[in-house]
Amino acid sequence: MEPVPIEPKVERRDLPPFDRLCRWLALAGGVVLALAGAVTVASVFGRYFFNDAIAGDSEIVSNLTAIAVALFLPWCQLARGNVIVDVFTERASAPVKAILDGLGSFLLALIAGVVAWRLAAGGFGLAAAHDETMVLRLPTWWAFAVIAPAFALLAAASVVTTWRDLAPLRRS
Amino acid sequence: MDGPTIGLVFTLAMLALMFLRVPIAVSMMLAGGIGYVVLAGFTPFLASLKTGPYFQLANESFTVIPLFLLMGFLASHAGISRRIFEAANAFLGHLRGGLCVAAIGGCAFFGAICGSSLATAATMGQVALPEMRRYGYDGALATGTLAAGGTLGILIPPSIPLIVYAILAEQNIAKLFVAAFLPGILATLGYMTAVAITVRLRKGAAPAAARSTWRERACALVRFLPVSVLFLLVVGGIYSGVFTPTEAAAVGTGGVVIIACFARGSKLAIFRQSLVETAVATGMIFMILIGADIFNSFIALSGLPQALASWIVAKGFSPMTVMLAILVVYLIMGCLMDSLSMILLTIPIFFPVVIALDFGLSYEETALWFGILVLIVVEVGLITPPVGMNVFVINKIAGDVPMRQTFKGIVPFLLSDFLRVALLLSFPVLSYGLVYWLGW
Repeated sequence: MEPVPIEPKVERRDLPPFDRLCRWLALAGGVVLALAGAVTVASVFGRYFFNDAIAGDSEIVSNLTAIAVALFLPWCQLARGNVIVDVFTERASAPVKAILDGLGSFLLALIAGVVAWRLAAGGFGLAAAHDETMVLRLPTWWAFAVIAPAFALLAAASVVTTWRDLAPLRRS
Repeated sequence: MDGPTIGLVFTLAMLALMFLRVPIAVSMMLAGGIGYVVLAGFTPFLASLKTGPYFQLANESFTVIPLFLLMGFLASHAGISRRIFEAANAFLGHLRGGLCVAAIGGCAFFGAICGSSLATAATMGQVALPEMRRYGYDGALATGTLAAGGTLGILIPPSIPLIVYAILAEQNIAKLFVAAFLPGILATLGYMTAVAITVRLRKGAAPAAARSTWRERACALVRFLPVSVLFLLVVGGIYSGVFTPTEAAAVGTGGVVIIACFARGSKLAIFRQSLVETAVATGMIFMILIGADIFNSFIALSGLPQALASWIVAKGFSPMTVMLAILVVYLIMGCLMDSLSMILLTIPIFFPVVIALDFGLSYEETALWFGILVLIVVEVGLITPPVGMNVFVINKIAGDVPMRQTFKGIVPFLLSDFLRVALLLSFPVLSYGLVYWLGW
């Protein structure tokens, strides 16, 4: 389902350090996204008032967006933003739900780890090949330098949520 | 096993994972990834992951999604829904069921700023429900109206499921936004009619509210003015072709930021809250986009869509039968899954099927028509049991209305939805006519 738009009111001071780091990175991602929006607006103004759009603005905007979204991912997992279908398991007991949720988080940890590894390999490959964007000739590996570590952090966040998912089992 | 069979097996495996509480995005990545390895081997799959996820995140067509989400969340916190509702209420509130009609009008207007159904329902609910309670409106009617009204957030452009459909079907996003306009207006009028009929059948469901004075109306209009400028910028900008959807989202976000600066309370808290909510909603959507990309590469490789299309053609079903069957599949899936995952998983399979059928329409007309129909039927899932998310959100905000009552309150609006689907099915021109008329 779509995430419920009302964030649970957690006192920020109560958050564990790792959560605070991820939330802080998500906020930083939000600022990067706002920057992408600002570049778009500047380009529109340039086009209509000065007959001159920012050259290669879409390269800047799409790379900034990619960086912003990657920074969102670890917090999204910690805040349980990744949606599940719970219709079929509504009546399951708490330990069964805990095991299934833990399994889901663990699978995400594995996948995010593999993706981080592959993106790192991809980034190093692009850097070695001196790959550049079409118009502005920006090095393409810059975005990878943020996105690959962000996926590694997503893997870490998923390990944390796996541990938390299994909490009901430890208690009983 | 041949390709299509493998495609089918891993589709079922993915559904099984989903139903076992594995996050939807993870189910897609895992089933799609393993399926890809089975069909093509490890090396090509690992090679595709080197840049594949990056290209999903940096896809120029997708940059519009986080911007529209940010605009919507900022608008929710900046008191924009209150400005809209109060203006509508000043002119309509004294009519029988007027507060409900005003709430639906408000949802439609807010839907033009916000691309999310839940955010529209929640933000309008917070403003309109207290007013309805003050005048003794029936709980079923009040909560039903807002849960259904929320779906206008997605039916009326900008609409995130429609953006995703446009990308999957390789259609122009702006054209689909134009195409959705008339069906969105039809939905608004249909819901208002549903309210009008309900309050006539069930007297006492909606006691008359006070009539606003002309002075109050003028005040409400002045407060509404900045919002209407924003509306003109975003909707007018896209429809006239002055802005691309991404530019409209960026300019609109700038406009909302300016309005937010005049909101009550801590501005910093508004911005921080909006950014964090955007982060969670965007993260969830892009995880699903990455997952669907992996899964859909596998499905394309398996040849399942072509096999299905040729099977349907060979069987000789009539085009309308197939279309109806597809819409019913969406209605059933909508009871279990969110709209975005549904569109991402089914369009790569259903779109080639629909395009291969002869409805007497051109390729583009069929694509626009099908997009609008899909958009409407997936939205119905948001207000039907067992997982009608809009209903849950509104019910929670109302606090004291039993869930059964809310679902009962939905019924008139569901009937209006089904009537509209029938109308759009019978007259495809309602979905693509405006696109031609505006000269796109």
